[in-house]
Amino acid sequence: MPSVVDPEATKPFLRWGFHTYGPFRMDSALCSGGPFCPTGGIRVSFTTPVRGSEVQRRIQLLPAVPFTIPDTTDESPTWYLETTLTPNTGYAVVADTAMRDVFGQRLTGNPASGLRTTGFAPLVEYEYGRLTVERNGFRTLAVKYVNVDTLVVETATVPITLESKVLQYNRWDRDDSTMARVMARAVKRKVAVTGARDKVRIFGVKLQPASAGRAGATTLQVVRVTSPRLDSAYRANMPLAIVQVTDLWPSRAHRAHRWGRVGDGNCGREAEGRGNRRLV
Amino acid sequence: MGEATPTAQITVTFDRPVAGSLDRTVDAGSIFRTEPNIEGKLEWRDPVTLRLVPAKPLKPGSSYKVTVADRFEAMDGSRLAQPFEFSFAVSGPAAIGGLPVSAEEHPRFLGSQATFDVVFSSELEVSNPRNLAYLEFDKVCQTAGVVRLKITGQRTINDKDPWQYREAGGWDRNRAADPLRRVVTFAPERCAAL
Repeated sequence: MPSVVDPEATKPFLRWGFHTYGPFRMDSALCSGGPFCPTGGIRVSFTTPVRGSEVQRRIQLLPAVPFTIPDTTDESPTWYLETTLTPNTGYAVVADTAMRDVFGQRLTGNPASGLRTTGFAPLVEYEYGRLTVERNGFRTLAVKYVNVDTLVVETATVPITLESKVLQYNRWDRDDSTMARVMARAVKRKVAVTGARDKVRIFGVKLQPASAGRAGATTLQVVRVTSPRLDSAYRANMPLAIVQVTDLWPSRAHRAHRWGRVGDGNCGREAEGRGNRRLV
Repeated sequence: MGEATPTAQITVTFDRPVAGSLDRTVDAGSIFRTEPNIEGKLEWRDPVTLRLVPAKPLKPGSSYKVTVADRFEAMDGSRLAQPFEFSFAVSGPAAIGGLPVSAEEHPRFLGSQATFDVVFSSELEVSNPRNLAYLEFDKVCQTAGVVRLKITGQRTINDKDPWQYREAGGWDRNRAADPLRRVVTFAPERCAAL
């Protein structure tokens, strides 16, 4: 078609592309959600659009699992089956051959497609930001992990000269040079951990008590925990826990509402904290 | 030959003042002429600019010749050496959108009964509409080759049309030309086995 209809027909032609539909087949059935898909759902693709009600009525999963679809009145070549599958299990998506697409074509080709769910993605999680840990309790930082066999624990003490800057640290700050200076002094150790596949376990990272009684001693330490099983982007963005190991007791004066002065053993310095154990 | 849109105004700019004041002006109608004649308001926009505002949009695809006579004096007493002439053509209807196929829309599942709406910037008047547009099927299609499209209708855009029609031409289009736009429906001359 000419881009401009002029008497001399000198203007260039326009070419607009389109596709016509072909036979109706099941194209694929994939566990949806990226490289790790432990519980579904399932993305089923056809070569032509199908009405949602037809998918709901004519598709079944083996082993049998109920599923729903977002809109039975919609028409689409791709459908997301909302369901909860079992990790590390094989499933078949089977279509009834009486199934028809929006053009009235019957399903041809293989009416079934197989898929397998994966285990859960490796995960390492812990509280981060400014934390206090009781000196007389377990004195640990709890690290939750799944499907990893090694934890890499980095611990760095914060020099007194950097304490104020570290306490102002926000992981969304553009300037993280202070933390880079602190973490350059970090002690790194690998810890072998155990646990059944796809089960959440907790490991307590033992923290060193601060010796504030010593002149010039530091009371803050920065902890980061990763694992070689995590992908590199995840590892690079693991958050930092800024921890103070300290004694906590209710203040007599403010017993009802707040934890009082946060002492530090022999107490060279003092800071105030409120609410629960997190200093905000 | 220059090109103009159907909503264009025609202006002639002199290199020195001609109509400097109310008591010292030149009758615009006596020195400005177009062929074919364009009805509209002819005026001095300022001392150096003569302007014709057409009463209705210019006819797409047509050509006009403008002549400025040499029978007048500028304010400094100088004259044109000869009548000044120029020509321009009004651009024809441009394809600016459509459904289900357009520059932005590339449907994947068209059926054999499909028709094609194309939005043109102005009314389509073609002597041989049969040769205007066609479908070209790939070798892998059952109907390989060319299927000609015929025009089955032409209408203005209304409020119930899809946004692709109502906004055809883009957000920065000349909205004064919106009433000129037309939706032209094309259908295959023969059924294409898909």
